[in-house]
Amino acid sequence: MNNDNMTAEKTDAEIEKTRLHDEREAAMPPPIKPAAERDALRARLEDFSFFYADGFQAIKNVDMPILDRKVTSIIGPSGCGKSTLLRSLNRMHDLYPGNRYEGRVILEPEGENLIGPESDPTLVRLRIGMVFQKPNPFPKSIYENVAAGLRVRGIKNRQVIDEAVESALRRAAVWDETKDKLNGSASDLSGGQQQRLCIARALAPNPEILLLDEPTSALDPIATAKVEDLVQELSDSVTIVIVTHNMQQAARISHRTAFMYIGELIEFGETNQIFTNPRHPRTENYITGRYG
Amino acid sequence: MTDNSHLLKSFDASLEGLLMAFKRMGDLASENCAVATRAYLAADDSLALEAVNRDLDIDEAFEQLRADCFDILLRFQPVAKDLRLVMGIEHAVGDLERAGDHAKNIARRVISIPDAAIANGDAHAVEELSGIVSKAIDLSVTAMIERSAADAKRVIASDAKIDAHNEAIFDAAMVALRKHPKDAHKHVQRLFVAKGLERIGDHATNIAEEVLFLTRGMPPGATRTGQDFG
Repeated sequence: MNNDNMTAEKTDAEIEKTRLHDEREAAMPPPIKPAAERDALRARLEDFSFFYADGFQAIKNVDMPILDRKVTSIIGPSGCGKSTLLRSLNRMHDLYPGNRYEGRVILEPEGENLIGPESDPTLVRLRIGMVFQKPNPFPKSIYENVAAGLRVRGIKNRQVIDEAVESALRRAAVWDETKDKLNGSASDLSGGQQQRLCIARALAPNPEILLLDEPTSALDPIATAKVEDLVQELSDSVTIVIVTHNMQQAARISHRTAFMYIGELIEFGETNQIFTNPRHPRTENYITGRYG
Repeated sequence: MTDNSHLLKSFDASLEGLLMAFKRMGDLASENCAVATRAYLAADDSLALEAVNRDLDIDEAFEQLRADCFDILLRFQPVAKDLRLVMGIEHAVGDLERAGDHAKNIARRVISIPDAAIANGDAHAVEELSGIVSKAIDLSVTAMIERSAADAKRVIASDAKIDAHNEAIFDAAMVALRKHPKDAHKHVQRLFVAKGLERIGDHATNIAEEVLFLTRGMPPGATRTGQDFG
């Protein structure tokens, strides 16, 4: 036997094995880590500002921590910049020319500036998933909706994708309702199921941060309760930032709350403190319903 | 919006209604403290009966105010200062109800023991104690309605004065007991009456502490000396 050929065959096998291993690893849900250190940082905004293409400054010099495996809610009146801030975190504004970021959004512990020129927006979006106000499944099967992010990640092995799809659907608490119709159209699901499917789709690439933009505003109370329970469960393994107009929801599900007004971060603190004893009069006026 | 109005007029109206009902309950409790004391000092059974019956009104007000608090919590889910105010009132009405019970117990003594009246020489001390206690109840209710930390502190400060009066009455009773043991039952009744008034003062202090919590958003910490008598 030729030693060179043997070496070449072994190398091919090893390459395949390594590729499969890498794909499995990329698709595996993150292991449950020990409880987060108190107030350990997952990200931090430093002097962060955002300008739309017409020059309008929607976010003004925000400094804010995002704590690891905690739920942070952002509240504030319409137009205060909370959704704009959320969308900045996964570079969604890059899709429109002329928009501009200033300051830094540092992902910890790596120290990578997510809005820096060195960061690839597509890769940022794989690391920071997003779910929108209205459920927006792709016009595809349930399976393909969840697999989409994995395919973007370059995962091709069918078995790996199968396992990851099941894992994501289980994490999003929608597996039992979809396991028998994975090839059925996602649009046939109820609104609440569609939203949890969208959460599964966002979870599939194993993001480090999950952004939720008013995820229950289009859902009935039962579907809302399921999503709220899901957010609580997911916060054991993923950092969550949620924008909500429902202050009771913010009080129920988040560990930290940020109040924004006209692009400024007015107050940030423990949710309990914000809703029982806010420090800033503007926060108090808003949450007590004395502010338009 | 520059004034302090709530976006929901119905919330402001409900809160206003709650505060007015709380004021009425406070007036009832304070007045009954005075009426029960007068009945005791005058050994007036009919006045005592009036105080006993008035306690039923206080109990009814307690039930209604608690229901009103639950209604506001259910309908408006208040937060921050509004939540603290509603919860403060929900706690305070419990104190007013207990204060009413103490006044009722004083009145019952008058009815159950025919010669419960005390010697004229001791009347002034009990009357004075009763006056301070009624004022403490009034001021604690005003402090809650006005969210006034300053008034709450005055109530808390008056508790030491109430305790001192109670102690003085106790000392005088001990002396009288030794001198006139055949009148022991009168002196013992006086001790019970003074103790009842002192307990009403404690409930005023409880309400004042609620006011400090609702105005500051944090527990008031230790406000009592730990030297309460009895």
